[in-house]
Amino acid sequence: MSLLKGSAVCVTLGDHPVLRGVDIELRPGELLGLIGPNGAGKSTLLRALAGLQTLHGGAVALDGVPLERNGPQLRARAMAYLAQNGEAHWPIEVERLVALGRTPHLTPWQRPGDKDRAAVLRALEQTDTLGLRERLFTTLSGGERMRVLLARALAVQPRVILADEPVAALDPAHQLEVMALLRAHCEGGGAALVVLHDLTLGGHFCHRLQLLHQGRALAEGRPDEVLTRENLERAYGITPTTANVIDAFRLNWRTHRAPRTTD
Amino acid sequence: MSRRREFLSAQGRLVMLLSAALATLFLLSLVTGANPLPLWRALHESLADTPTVLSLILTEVRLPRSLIALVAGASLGLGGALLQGLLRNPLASPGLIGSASGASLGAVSVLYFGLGAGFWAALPLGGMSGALLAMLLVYLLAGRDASIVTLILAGVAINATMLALISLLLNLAPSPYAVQEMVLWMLGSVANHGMDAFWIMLPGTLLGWLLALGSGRALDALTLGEETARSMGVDLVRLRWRLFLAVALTVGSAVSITGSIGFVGLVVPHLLRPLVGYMPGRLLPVSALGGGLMLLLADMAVRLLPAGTEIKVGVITSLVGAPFFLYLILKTRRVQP
Repeated sequence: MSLLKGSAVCVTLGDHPVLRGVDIELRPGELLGLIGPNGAGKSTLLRALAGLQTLHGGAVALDGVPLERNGPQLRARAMAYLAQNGEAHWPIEVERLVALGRTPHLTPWQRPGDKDRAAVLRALEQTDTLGLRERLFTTLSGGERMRVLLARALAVQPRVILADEPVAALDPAHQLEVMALLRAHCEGGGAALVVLHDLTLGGHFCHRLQLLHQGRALAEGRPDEVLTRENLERAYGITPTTANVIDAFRLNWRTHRAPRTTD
Repeated sequence: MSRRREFLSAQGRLVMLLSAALATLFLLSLVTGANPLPLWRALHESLADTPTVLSLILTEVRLPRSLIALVAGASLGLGGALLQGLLRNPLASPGLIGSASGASLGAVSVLYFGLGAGFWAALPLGGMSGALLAMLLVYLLAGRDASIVTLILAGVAINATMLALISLLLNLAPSPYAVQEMVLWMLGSVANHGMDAFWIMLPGTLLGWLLALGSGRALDALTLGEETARSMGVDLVRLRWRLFLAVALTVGSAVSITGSIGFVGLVVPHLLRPLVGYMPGRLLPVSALGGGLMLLLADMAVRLLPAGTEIKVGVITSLVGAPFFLYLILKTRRVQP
């Protein structure tokens, strides 16, 4: 049973067909990496799955129910979308920004309750941003911002996280932490679809990978099934120089950082 | 946990403080002027059957003037806060987005060319439709994720168009007397109106305020951008229509009575934003109160200024607001290249 499923998804932007019939399936408990060269349609597919992109063909279903038949509130509670290059347009406090993640759970006049505050606190702890809670978002570094925005997504307490390049701006240690966090979310019963450029991180952390190329799914499966010589040559035009292809994408380092206690 | 509760009451304290200041200023506005009014005596006399000079000044002059300043100022302050939150742009305001000049065009058309003469709602309806039209044009020109520059340019273009059309109307005006009247009206003033003018502007204003109610949380979510807000269940198309309509109703109603009073909608939200932690939702009530406060204050200043001819309040707000606008552009340019 799939949690989120796209069938024959087609999207055309202007005259350009960006997605030409992609099938994708996200199962409960799974971290799925969406990889592919620039312009392959990864972000568009992610937006389509989040219900943010009009489809020109195909369908997306959440829990087997077509997305448009899930109410917007229900959908917003089930899925959190983490945009690429996320920004905040006003210099608001980190804790308030993270609390915006509770929006789908509150009516316009409802005040955040204990449950909401607990969710925010937990999201701050998980992303190691508790110490930043009174800082203004605009004064943070790129890596801090990404973790705060991830905390916002976690504060939704969604079943599915859809993240567009969440580790692109992070240093190696925080990359590992964020990927581990997403994996922990999945192992706790949720699921996540992550757009990645880093094949090493994808190969190490993701249960499965799906490779997009020119708007089509080129390959899908376990990392060692997807990261093959032929697929890499065809999609990226690169050739691994190691004898065994998967050895080129081994994560040969780890973080020394103990989970930090907040000052 | 306790920190958050504390913060909520900080917002509450701010609203209380502004409300108290507004009430005080309103009472002061009733007594301030060329003839200082002993308020209690005037109140007492206006309750009696026979009208006296004092009671007439209070009920026919000062009361409508203060009420109109209060409500029009609140509409402009709220309109600025709504537009700035919706467009995520500190330079958005009823004046810049063209709603004020559009409303002027609509009202001028009705006022001096006898469209719908005799129908009380013709004037505010003209103002509202002009405001809505101008805003939609700016929005179509600037597009969804307008940069500050695009938005300003679109605003400039639409404002120029509206002013050109107003000039055309002036040009075609039936008599020189009408031209003079139009020009004076366009300077922007809350003076020389009776209670009937206040009642005329009230329905549209209240409807607009009602429409804006409860939009705070969606505006907060918009801080994270349109996509993220939509992913959190905000219906952006509906929100945009609702708030454009709210601004058109409130600003259109206000402008159709007072003429265009510039910069209140720009300056007030900007000054008050830091006091609410930059949260667009919390800014709404605060900015409405602040707008009323500012226009009342400006109108009292106009009454007390020792000038042969009374200076129109719109002239004062523009004189103060324009340099502020310039300062804001320079500051924004430094932050967002």
